[in-house]
Amino acid sequence: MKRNFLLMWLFIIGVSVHDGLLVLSHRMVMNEFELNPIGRWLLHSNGGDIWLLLAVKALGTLAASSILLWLYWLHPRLGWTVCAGVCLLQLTLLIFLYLPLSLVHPVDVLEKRLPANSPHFGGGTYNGISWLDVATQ
Amino acid sequence: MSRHIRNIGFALALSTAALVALLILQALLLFRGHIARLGDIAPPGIEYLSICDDGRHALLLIREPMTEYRDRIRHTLAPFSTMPPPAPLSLPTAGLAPWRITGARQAPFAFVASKRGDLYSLDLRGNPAPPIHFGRHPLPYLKDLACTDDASLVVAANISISCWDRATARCLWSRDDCEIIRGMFVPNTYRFFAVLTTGQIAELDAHSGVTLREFPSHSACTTYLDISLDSQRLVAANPLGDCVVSVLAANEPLWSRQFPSNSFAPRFSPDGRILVAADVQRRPRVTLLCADSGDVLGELTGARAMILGLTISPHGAVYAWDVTGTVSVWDLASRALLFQFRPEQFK
Repeated sequence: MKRNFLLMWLFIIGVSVHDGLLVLSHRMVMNEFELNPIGRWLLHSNGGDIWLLLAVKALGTLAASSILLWLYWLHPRLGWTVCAGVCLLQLTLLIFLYLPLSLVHPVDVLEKRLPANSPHFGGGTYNGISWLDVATQ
Repeated sequence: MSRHIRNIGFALALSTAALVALLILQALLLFRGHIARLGDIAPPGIEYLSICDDGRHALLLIREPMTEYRDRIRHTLAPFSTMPPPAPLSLPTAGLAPWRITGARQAPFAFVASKRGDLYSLDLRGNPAPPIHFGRHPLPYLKDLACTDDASLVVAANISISCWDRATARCLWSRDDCEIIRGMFVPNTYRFFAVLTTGQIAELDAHSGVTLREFPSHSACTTYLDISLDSQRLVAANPLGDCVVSVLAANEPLWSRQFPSNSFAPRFSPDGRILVAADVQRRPRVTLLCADSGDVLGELTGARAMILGLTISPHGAVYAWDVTGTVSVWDLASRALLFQFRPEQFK
């Protein structure tokens, strides 16, 4: 197997794995920020849970990378060309994943949700809301 | 034939090995922190605060803490009266699974959308009444919910938009060809403006859904907008901290400013002269800017942590919520801190 093909083939799987790990790490906001309509449908049909999406993503990656390998063994030139095309698509996906709109927002949302230093405040609780420093007016 | 099957099997085995190896490699090198935090408890958070009924009532949407990573995102509502002394309201919202909220600024109504897209109205007048179901948006997981000041029209949006008449519980129109990021009705009017996924801002006719005009937001990747009460100025902002104020009628940019925080949520004061925005400079604060020039006019201090969002009542009470779950309320005229509170989820 030629080195170029092997690198492209590993890159395709690597980007797919990276995408899956991003989904896992941003799982709390995926329902809001998933842009792929098929991804959205998978999330919705699994009640907002990411596991179906990850499973389909993994199976798709395995199927695609296996077909690429088989095609390369069968017709090396055709396999190389198809692999280069898919590699280009994966590169586009990788760039898109790190564009501000698609990634910065979910990461920032997650960062915002991290508990900063949670100071303890006094005050009584009434009907589920604890009030403090009320009415300096 | 058997050779092909054997080859495919071998290719599948190689692919699986490569996938597992790359998964382990990336998980260890690039995602170690995220993987280690998979089992952590996600803290609660205030997602939104909506002012209703001429500033007499407000509604909080709180994301519940998640004790296991498999937990679904759950929200609860915390309505409260802002009339002195401010006090929580008791509303029968049992069984309601809120996802998005909005409040009518001039009417005693608030609106809630569930995850599935069901739309409910809440009556905030004297006697507590259960939520009234008045429609269902075609798709679940709304991105935005907006209503007119008089609570007559409600717009629900994700990749499609639908507009509902509250009184008749009827869908006035819906569109599948227009995906919006955020939408709002101009205060005291039926004019609906929205940030499109294309980055443009569009004005839609509230009664038909027809696009009346589209214009650039003058800010890259715009995700946020607010329009002054007098319909004179528009502020567009993005998650990178860029904020551009422009003249709405002519769509000419007046001034722009970069904020250090991405959650500065700029809002116009009720008279349209001041732009209020969350800011961080040594400590969290709310900055007051001249809407015409962008000059700093002052600040509101006393916030306990980084501010996540803010909103202003028609009488000039500035509500800001922070990462600790504390809501701070200032009087814009006197710049005095009126009161602070935290919902019990944050104790």
